[in-house]
Amino acid sequence: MDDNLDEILGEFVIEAGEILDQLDIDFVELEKNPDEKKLIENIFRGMHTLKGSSGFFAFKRLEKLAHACETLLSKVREGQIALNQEMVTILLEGFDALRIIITVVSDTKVEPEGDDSAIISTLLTIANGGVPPAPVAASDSASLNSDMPPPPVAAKPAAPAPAAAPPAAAVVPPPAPVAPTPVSPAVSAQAESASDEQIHDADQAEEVDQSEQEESQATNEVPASASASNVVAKAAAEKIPDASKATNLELAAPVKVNVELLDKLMNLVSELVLARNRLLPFVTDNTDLNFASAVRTIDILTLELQERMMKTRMQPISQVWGKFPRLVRDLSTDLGKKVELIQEGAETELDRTLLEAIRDPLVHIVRNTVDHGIELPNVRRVAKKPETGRLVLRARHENGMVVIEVIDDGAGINFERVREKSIQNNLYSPEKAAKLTDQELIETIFLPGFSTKEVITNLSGRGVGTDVVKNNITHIGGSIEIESPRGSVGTKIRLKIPLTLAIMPALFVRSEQERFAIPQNSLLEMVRFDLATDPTGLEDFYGTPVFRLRGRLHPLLMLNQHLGLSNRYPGKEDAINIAVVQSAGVRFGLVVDEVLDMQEVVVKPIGSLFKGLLDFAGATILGNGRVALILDVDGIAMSSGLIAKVQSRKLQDDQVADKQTDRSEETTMLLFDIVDLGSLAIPLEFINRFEIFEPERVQRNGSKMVVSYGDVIMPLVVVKDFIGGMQKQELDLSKPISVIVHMNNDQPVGLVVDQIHDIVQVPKKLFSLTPPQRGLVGAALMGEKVINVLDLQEIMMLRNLNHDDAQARYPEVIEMGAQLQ
Amino acid sequence: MSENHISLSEGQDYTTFHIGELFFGIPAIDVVELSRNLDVTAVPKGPSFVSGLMNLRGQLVPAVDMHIRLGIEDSKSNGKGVSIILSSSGAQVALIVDAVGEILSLNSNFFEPPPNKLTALAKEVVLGVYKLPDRLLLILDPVKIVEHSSLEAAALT
Repeated sequence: MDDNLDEILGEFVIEAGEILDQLDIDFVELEKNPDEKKLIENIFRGMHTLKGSSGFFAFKRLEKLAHACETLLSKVREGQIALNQEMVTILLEGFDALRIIITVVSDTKVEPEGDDSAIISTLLTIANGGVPPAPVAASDSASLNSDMPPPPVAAKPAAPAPAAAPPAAAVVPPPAPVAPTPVSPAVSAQAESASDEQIHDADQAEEVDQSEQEESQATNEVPASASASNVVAKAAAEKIPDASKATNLELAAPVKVNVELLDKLMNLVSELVLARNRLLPFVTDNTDLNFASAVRTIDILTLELQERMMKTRMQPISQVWGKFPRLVRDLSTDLGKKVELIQEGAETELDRTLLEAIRDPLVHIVRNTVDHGIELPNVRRVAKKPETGRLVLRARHENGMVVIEVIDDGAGINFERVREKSIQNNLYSPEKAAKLTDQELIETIFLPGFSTKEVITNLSGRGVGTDVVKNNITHIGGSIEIESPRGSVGTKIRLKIPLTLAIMPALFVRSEQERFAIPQNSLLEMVRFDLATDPTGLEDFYGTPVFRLRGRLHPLLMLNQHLGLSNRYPGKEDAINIAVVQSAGVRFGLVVDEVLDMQEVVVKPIGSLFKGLLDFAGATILGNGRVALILDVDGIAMSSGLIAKVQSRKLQDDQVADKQTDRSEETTMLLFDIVDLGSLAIPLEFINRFEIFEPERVQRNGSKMVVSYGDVIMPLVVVKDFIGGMQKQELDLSKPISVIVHMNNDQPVGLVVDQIHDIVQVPKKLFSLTPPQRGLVGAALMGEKVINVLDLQEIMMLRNLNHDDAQARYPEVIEMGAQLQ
Repeated sequence: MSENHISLSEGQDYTTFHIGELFFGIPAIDVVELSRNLDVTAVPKGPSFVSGLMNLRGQLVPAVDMHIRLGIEDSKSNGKGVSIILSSSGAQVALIVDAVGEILSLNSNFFEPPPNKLTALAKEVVLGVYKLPDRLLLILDPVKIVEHSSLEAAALT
């Protein structure tokens, strides 16, 4: 018995929550269209249902509060009082009080102690204030409505909503049995709302849900109200046409299924798909037509089953958005702003776990937008914008991702403010901050140290910060972008969220005999590192092997050693495959034996037996039925002690940090070697790509050497020949040649060098060479090392002159440094 | 908890199996199925007695090597045994044993305390002993086998 009561109570809590959610939406809608009788009806009925159920459970506080709200609502509904903002605010307060009580009820199953007399008396005063002979009339009408909903109540909706009435009547053929049942108001209200064209799609969907909810309960309580399920059947039929057409009307009532069961079903379906895959080859080997057709049927059914199954976990984004009309209304009222909320694509579906994950970030973004983005009405007037700001929420599917945009037509980001704040929060030096581009400033907003506490009112900045928003989004494999052009035209925030958490792209690698998957979102790049040809090779950094990637030290972790698969350590002549990953801001390389392929994997937990094992994020089942483990990069960083090691010696971090702070003083160059000349550099911006050509591809075209490159003929320039003091030599065509492709007036030119090394950061400041040397613009200092920088302009100029008399015509004075500024 | 549950019941069915020289029984009601030749993917750094994960119709099931779990070192063990899929406290686990015997119906009132010669590890999970006409049947506690605390203890040994 107790269980039964608990179950009913549980349903009550869910239902009450849904009613309140719907009331929020309806109310905000009502404020826009105060004359919309149907909305008032809906609200009234919702409140009425709530009061009725509270009475059933003897929740006195709920009942009294709901009663007071209902009293005021009934006045409005009967047209005795015109709704104004004051009333809406007090009613919303009432709803909030109800919600709080219901939350406690759901946790403790008992109504909390408390006094709502203030709200109740305000509600009643307003209700009475409108009509002089109020006290009697108010309580009369209220008690009438609550205790014994008489036929007039049920009959009424038809009157204020003539448009909606006919379809409702059509759906419910015998209107008579509806009237006497206690739930009838809800039934007809929902019938109306379901057919109400005015209400937004999303709202409608929710209403249908709610109506189903209410109906299922109604059916339990009053089995006689067969017409109720009729309505549901109609509503359900609109949602899933094929499914419900076939089924009996009684079965159309939604069934609550727990997620575990769904997951299990999902598993079975995946297995069925694999089993089907094994079956398919038999069809080609077997000539039996009956067998083939049976397999084809199984094939089609499996596919359909799989699609349907995927859908069960998907829910429309309106589940999250549903709260926003109220949120935006409250915020804008508090701030004295006018905001119109527009929702597009509220029916876009994504996995329910992801919905939960994006809820808080989205609330934060919407808050921020209303608080900072949209200006006060008078400001907007000055800016020649309509007083009411627009806030558009837009969701859609795009390339297997869900894209959610939050767009406003407000002031946009105040870049100078962000710049100031970044200095105040010690994120950048004033000099550095002054040079930040708008895009860099936008990125600053997401930095952990960035705080706008002074800028923000008490409304925003509650709970999560912008960095947390970004973290939450990236954690589920999503991304966030902000566009905010200057000129006060508004801001567009774009979130990209994967459709489902359970499936993610991962790179498969091999270590010893085992396959492992590395989640793509923790993978930065793959590097093949040939120890035999690299001058530095693996270096040792306080006992940790490190390697240099573009001038930055990356600690290395041998996956085979870390996982205890073997003790093998790469030899001096080996080429190693490194997966560069990042954890807690520290980049490191995982050395694997082989890089296999990229696959979408279904992540499954590995279970409690492996509790405390940080190295794996889960496992997945491969096409051949075997299990492969998915690496958890954060866990590996932690369990290997790598992060702790790196952080305990600030050396590298500081170096990196120093590098970053004066990056604006640096320029990126490509480092290469020319025999007898040592290391030379060329600014990266002049380089199109690198190529290595087999000697056979080099052809002579008169005195010049060319290769065919794409659909053009690319002349080759032997860099060495143009540098002062170098002997001109025949190009050594016994081995492949390394070529840097440079676009000169849209024509590719191949610069032949001996070996290409690396991309490095070099100070912009160049030292001029005395005396000036032909072909070189100056020298840069990289650490202790002096690197000569090529003067491409000059080399190109010299090349265009006749090769042979280039020496003679060489100009006396060369403009130094022009190239790099 | 489960001891009570088992000792109170009478005439229960037990699935029997062999590990090395020993003969074991486990309540048949907890056994989901028997399986052979399932691929096991080793989980590096996992507990030593867990040989890895198996794919049982899309579900990941950890495989417990009963030789190691019970501390019965036996050269005959090559990991290629029969898997008894057990449903224990909501989760599934596969016990890899050498061979499976028949199902016996036993009265738990005749269970006797486990003999002293068992290893400490085995004693933890053996509920009792049933004297069959020709040999001893050691009854295992299906919950204890995969209970985390005892597993940790096992991992330390």
